[in-house]
Amino acid sequence: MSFFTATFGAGTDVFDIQGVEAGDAAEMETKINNLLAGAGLPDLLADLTLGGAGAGPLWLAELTLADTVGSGVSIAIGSVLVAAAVAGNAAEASLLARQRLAALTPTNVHKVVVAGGGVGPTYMAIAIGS
Amino acid sequence: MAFYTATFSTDPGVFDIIAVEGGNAAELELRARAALAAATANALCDASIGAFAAGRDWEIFFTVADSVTGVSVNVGNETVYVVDGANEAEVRANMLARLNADSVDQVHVFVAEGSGLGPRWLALAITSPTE
Repeated sequence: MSFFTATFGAGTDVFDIQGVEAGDAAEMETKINNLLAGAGLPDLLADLTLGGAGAGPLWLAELTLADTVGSGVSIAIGSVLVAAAVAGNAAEASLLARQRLAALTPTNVHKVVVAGGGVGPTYMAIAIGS
Repeated sequence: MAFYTATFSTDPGVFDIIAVEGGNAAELELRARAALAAATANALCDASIGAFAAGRDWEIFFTVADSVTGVSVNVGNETVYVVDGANEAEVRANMLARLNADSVDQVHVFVAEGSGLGPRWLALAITSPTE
């Protein structure tokens, strides 16, 4: 993780943080895609982070969105491609997420993030492309 | 998420990983702000959250260095916000309320991590004034 510089504005169509909770990978993908397809969001995705917790486990992706990202890489939300996978180890989760992203035929990959959670534990990976 | 390039040194005044531990958001925010106020390196270039499930004990890690390539914040210009919530909506509402109340200029990182069986989510943002 390193920093970006996103201009903050009081309106959530200028700067916003949106969390997506999900219990599995398919739910995570659907919710993120539905969120990004919705109205009233800033234009750019500046970052996505992932955490996991609980016995289920439950996963939380946090998206930082802004109209102006002065430094750091950002992605137009209309071109974001999201792929998520859950597996019993981090390497498998990452591999499955990247395979799912490949099926979306991205030009660029911007981030692959992995988090662990649950008692097993299990791991979720999210790959972001465009 | 992207990489930074920080010049390494074994001198903690030149390159350092600063960790603060706490059991709730208010405690962590106070400790984080105090720890960074005591830092002597020039720039803050990274922040992350770790969680330990049983006791809902949290740690926040900061990376500071004298020389950083990539986006960084001059130490002393940053403001750290830490909030928690039982779900995504609470985390978002609590953090945006803090940022709006302070009319912040720019945001450099927003990250969340979960802990406990509930679970409880802890979120961190770092802001700075436009220079």
